[in-house]
Amino acid sequence: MRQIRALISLVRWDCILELRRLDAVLNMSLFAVFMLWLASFAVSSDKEAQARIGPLIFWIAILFAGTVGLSRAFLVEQAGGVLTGVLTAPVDHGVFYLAKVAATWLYMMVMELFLLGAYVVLFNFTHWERVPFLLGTMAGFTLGYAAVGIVIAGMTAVIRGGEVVLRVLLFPVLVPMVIAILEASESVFPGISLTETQRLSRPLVILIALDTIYLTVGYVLFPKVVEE
Amino acid sequence: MSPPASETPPSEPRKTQFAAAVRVTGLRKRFGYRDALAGIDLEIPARGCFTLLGPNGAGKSTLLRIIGLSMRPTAGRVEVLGREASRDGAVRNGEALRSQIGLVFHESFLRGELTLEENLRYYAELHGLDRSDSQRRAGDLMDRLGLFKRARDPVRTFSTGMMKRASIIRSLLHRPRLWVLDEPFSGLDQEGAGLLEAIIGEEKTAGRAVVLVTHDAELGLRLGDDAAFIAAGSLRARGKAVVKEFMASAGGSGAS
Repeated sequence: MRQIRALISLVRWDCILELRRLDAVLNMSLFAVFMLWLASFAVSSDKEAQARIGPLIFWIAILFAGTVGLSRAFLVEQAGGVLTGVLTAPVDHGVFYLAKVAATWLYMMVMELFLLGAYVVLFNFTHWERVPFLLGTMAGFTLGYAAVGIVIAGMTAVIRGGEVVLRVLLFPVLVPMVIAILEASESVFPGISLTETQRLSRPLVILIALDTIYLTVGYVLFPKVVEE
Repeated sequence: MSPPASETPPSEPRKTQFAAAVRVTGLRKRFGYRDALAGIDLEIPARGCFTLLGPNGAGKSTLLRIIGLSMRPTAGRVEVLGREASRDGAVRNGEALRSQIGLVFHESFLRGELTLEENLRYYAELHGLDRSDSQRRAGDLMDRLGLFKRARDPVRTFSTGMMKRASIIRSLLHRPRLWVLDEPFSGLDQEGAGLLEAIIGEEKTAGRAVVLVTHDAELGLRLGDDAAFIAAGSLRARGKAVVKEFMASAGGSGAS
């Protein structure tokens, strides 16, 4: 019970700090929306190309913008030895990991909502009935992304050129998730009937399974990563 | 909410179930090819102030970080407050043990964007302290250390000395059984140093253990009930009288 209270407390204080600085959310959102905006010029006159390439650009924007947030995930804790302060407090280090994943998930979801808004405008997205499926896919993908990303961000936070190493290590691990979201995109974005629930649910089931695996491995690995 | 293990009022000496606050045996810590600690055997009493002296790079801070459970040893046995802390995982799962240790290191552990009051609330929540009790305790400590008027200022606006005072408050908030201080006087003005000396005295009277690292040998030996001298990662002298004698024969620093 005490660890659950500590988890809530860690997430709450992380959010309070983020609200004051708007560091991760603002940087990620600007990066993602500008990327989408620039890409939209390439296909602005071709409706078919918009429908075909749009989803790909949407997910790539999330992939890269997410690393902007991840590279800042431990910035606050590094200053003033806060990380040591948290690790020497009576909080399970796995709980600290879960708190970081939860906060990162929240920030990324806010960024993705901005991105979705931009996508609707720039790529003429009109399949409103599919938005719930799209949000489910985004939430599932983001959870796995944060689960892997926080472990790697913890590893690379203290090394020189950590941001580059973060991407080099992160993207290969995310390949199964990327395949799942691209499969989901085929169902969510273009003109496939919603009655084909099997096609829609399969990628979501894969995402949930991958989230579970990544979170479990992260929970075990993260304390070993940050303890030294 | 059950009260934390360290909730005994400061004036009431606690019964000690263990003979030593810290007991290390064959303690080694290696950074790359260099031994920061080269096999130390040391016992720190369960009550009173224990002063650790030594020249720069002797391994004092490394030893303190291992005692404070923020660093794992390369080899050897570490027992803190009667619990073995050196085994793999013991540090990670030692929440109960960590709730009884207060640390003052060179870093403040405080978040610059938060006010002092918020920082103290943050650590009180992590320690699972009762809200009203921790607020009262924080208020008392801030008042005592002259930071009450700055409670609502972000700590990034604090001077070095104020940051040190804030760090002392943070470390005492949960009434630790073992108080670990690494150069706590550095950055403090005369008034601050006097206050810290008084608080160390109170902790000793309350029957708690204080481990103090300082470069000021005279101050350290005056405050310490017991002492040790380490150099080049090895224990060179143990006991106040022996340390004094050792330092006198080695020309003060004892670095050789």
